[in-house]
Amino acid sequence: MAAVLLTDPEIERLLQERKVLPPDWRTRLRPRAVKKGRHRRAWLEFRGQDGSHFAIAVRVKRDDPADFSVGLCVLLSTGWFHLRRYNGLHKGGHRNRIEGNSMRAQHIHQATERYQARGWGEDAYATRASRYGDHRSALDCLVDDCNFVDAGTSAQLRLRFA
Amino acid sequence: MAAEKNIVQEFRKQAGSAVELHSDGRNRYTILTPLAFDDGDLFPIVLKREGDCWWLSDEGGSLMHLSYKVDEADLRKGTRRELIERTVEAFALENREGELRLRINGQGYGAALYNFLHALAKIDDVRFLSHERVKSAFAEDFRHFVETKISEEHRYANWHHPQKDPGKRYAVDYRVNGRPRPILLFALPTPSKIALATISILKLKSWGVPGEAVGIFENQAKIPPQVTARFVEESAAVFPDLVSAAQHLPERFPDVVAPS
Repeated sequence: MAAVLLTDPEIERLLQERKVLPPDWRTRLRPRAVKKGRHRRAWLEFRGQDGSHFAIAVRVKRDDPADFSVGLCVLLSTGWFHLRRYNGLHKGGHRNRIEGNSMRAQHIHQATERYQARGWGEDAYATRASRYGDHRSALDCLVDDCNFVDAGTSAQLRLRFA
Repeated sequence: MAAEKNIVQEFRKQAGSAVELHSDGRNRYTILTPLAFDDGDLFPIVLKREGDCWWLSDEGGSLMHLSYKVDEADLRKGTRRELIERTVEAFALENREGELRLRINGQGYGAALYNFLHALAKIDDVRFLSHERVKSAFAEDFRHFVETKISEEHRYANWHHPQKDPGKRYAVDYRVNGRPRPILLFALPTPSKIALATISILKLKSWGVPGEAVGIFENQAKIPPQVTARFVEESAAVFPDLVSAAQHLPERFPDVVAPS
């Protein structure tokens, strides 16, 4: 059995930890060109209410904006651990090795204990997604799902990009 | 159109039943194979025609996927960049501004596909350098860390006391000024380097050279405890690895170290 860095309850606790976004987070999460690369990226680090060190990572294929990834990571002593990742349509699709099902559609990667125990990537399990259409709406879903709060308000914020 | 149909039929025949081709437009097909990244996403492969040639391409997907685990800047330098470049060359690929592609020569579609898959798998293995902390990668990561966290005006690489140590026998990896007591920063990858660092600190103290000794281990868990203990006794702060240092060094020295 491979090392399990976070159990399922620990993963859920981190997803639900209140996360306060800095005031200029929308600007900072606007993807920018990568030198000598075919994609654009954005990266934003911030603290959760319980002190956890999180980051949101955005990647968008330059020539195919439908191919993107919007993810939430937490910093452990071993490095960044991917909690959840909202993917667009990329060539090839995804296959869940344990469950045996495949999907060539938008999908959401989720960290699980069982995949870590088998020695695969922590977020190697994914479910088909139909709630978003591009990286901006995927970011909306991430913010909705993972207890984000804007620094300027005390209420959970429902965000929509124009 | 007949020529394209023939090529696709030949490709399917040579590549085998485990490989699927799906039309993705004119002269363009998505290829599905059993091979996947560590997170279950299948390798992104397209068979496409450009001019008179057929190409296998990842259209930038492999390096984008790799960037989920390794910062793009780290892929463009040092050990990681060398590994990628060597693989590209060894498998006769082209790296066209982040797109990895292989021209199919003659009729060798099956061989080309498996060659391409092998190359993508090797390049993806670069992600594991982050976990294995190859020695040369740690030195580069340490330097990159210092250069991004501490301004150039405050940091001095490979510092030695100019009057007391002209022979540079008790050098410090970085001396950080801009504060009442400078930081004497040491990279600590191996027991021998840690022992040398401890000796340097003791010598500098014996000369009355002011400073706060700080050590960043490559991986403290791998160092014999007594080696660590001797360094810790003589230093102001230690961090078990670069990840911990990224988090806590700015908290400890906010006057000269930029926050995360």
